[in-house]
Amino acid sequence: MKRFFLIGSVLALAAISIFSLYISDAEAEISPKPQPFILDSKIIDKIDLGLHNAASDMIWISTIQYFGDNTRKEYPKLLDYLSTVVSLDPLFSRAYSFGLLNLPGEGNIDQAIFLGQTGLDRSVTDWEVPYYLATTYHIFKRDQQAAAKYLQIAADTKGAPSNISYIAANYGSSGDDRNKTILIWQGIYENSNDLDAKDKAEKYLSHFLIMNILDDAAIKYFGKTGNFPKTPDELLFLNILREIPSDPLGFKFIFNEKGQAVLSE
Amino acid sequence: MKKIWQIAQYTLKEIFRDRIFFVIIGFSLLYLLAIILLSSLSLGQDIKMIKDLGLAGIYLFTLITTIFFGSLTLNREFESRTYDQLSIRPVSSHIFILGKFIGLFMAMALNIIVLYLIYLIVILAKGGGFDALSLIQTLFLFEEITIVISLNFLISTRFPHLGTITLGAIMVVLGHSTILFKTVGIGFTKFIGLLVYYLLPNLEKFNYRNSIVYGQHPGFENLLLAAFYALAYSAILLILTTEIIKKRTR
Repeated sequence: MKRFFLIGSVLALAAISIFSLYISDAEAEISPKPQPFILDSKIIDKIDLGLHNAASDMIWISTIQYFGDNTRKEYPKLLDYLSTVVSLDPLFSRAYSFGLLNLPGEGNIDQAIFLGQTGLDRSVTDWEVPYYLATTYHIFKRDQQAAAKYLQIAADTKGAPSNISYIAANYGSSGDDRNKTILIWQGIYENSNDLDAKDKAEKYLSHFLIMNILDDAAIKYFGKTGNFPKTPDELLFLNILREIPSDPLGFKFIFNEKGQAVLSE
Repeated sequence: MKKIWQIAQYTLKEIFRDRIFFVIIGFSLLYLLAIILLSSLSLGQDIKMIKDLGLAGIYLFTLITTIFFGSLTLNREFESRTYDQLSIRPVSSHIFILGKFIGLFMAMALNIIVLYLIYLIVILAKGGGFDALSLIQTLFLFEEITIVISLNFLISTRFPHLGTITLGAIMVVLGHSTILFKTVGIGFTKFIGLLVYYLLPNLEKFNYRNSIVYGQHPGFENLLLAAFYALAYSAILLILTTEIIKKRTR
C-alpha cells in the first residue's frame, strides 16, 4: 500500500511537471518575444574596467544572436545594438558594414547611412564600409551621385580588391539603373569575405536575373500578341515560360506599360 | 638584500601552496580555450575577438588573483601573529613589506607569463600569427599589478581579508574611471575633483588593449612614463603600509 502510494505520488508529480512544461512552451509560442534590454554604452564604458573592445565583442555576439533569431518578425533593437557596439569599439568595421547591409531592411535607411558615415569619419580602414554605403545610397536613396562618390572611396581604400576600381569606374557609364545595381551586388558577391554579405548579394543577383528573364519573356509576349503582359502568369498561358521563377527575396512581380518587370505593391 | 629575497621566496612558496592560486589559473586556461568557441559565433571576426577577449581575460584573472592574494598575504601574517614574532627578530618592517611585495609580484608575473603563452598559442593556432604588440600590453600589465599589490597591502593594514578584497576591487574600478573626477564641477568642486583625480591610482595609463588589437603601437615613451608612475605610486603606498604596521607593533 505504501509502495503504491509512493509510485502514485511520483507519477502524479511527473505528470504535473510535464503538463506545466507543455503549457509554458505553448504560451511562449503564442506570446511575442520581449525585446531585449541593452545597457547604455556610457554606463558600460564606466564599469568595464577599460575593456571596451571585449565589452563590445560580447554585445556583438548578442547582436548576431538577436538578428539570427528567426522566430522574430522584426528587429527594432538592431540599431541600438549596433550603436552600442561601435560606441565602445569605434574601429569595429564589421559592425558598420553589418548595419549598412541590414538596417535599411528594417526601415532604418537614414540611420544606416549615419552609422556608415560615422565609421568613415572614425577612419575605419575597411573598403566594405564605403562600398555598402554606396549600395545603400544607390538602392534605397536612389542617389547615384552619392553612390558614385562612395564607390570611389571604396576603390581608393587600401586593400580593396582590384575589381572594385573597375566597378567604380563603370558605375557612371553603365546603362540603366538595374545594371548599376547588378554591378554593385556583383562586387559584393565576388569580393566580400563576409558570408552573410555574400549570401545577401547572391540573393539580390538571382532577384535581378529573374527580372531580366521576365523582361525578355515580355518582349516575346509582345511579339506574339502586340501587347505587353500585365502579370507573369500571362506568360504561362502562351507557353513563353514553363514556370515563374520564385524570387529569393520573396517579392512578386508585375509589368509596367513598357513591359519591364517591376515589384508588385 | 638577502633577507628580502628570503621573505620573497617564502611568500612565493606560500602562494604556490595555496590551491586557490591553481584553481584560478585553471579557470583562466579554460576561459582562454572557451573563447575559441565563442569567437566562432562572431561572423568572421574570430581573430579580433580572440585578441580582445584573450587580453581582457588575462587582465581580469590576473586582477582577481592579485586582489585575492594581495589582501591575503599581509592579513594572514597579522591574523596568525607571525608578523609580531618576526618583529622581535632583526627584520625591519621595510624589508618585510618589500620581501612580501616582491614575492607576490613574482607569483603574479608567473601567472601572467603562463596565461600570455597560452594566449599566443591560441592566436597562432587560429592563424593570427605572432601577436607581438600584445607583449607591450603585457608589460603594461606588469606595471599595473605593482600598484594593485601595494594598494591591497595598504588596505589590508586596516581591513580584514574580505573587506580588503571588496575595497581593492572598488579601487580598481575607480582607477579606471578617474577621468570622471578630472572633468567634474567648477571652482572649488573642480579643485576637489582634481585632487581626487591625482590621489587615486590612474589605471587607464596601463590600458592600451583597445588600440593594440588594431595594430596601433602605444609608444615606448608611454610604457616608460607608466613605469615611472607605477614605481613612484607603489613606493608611496608601500612606505605608508610600512609606517602603519610599524605603529601597529609598537
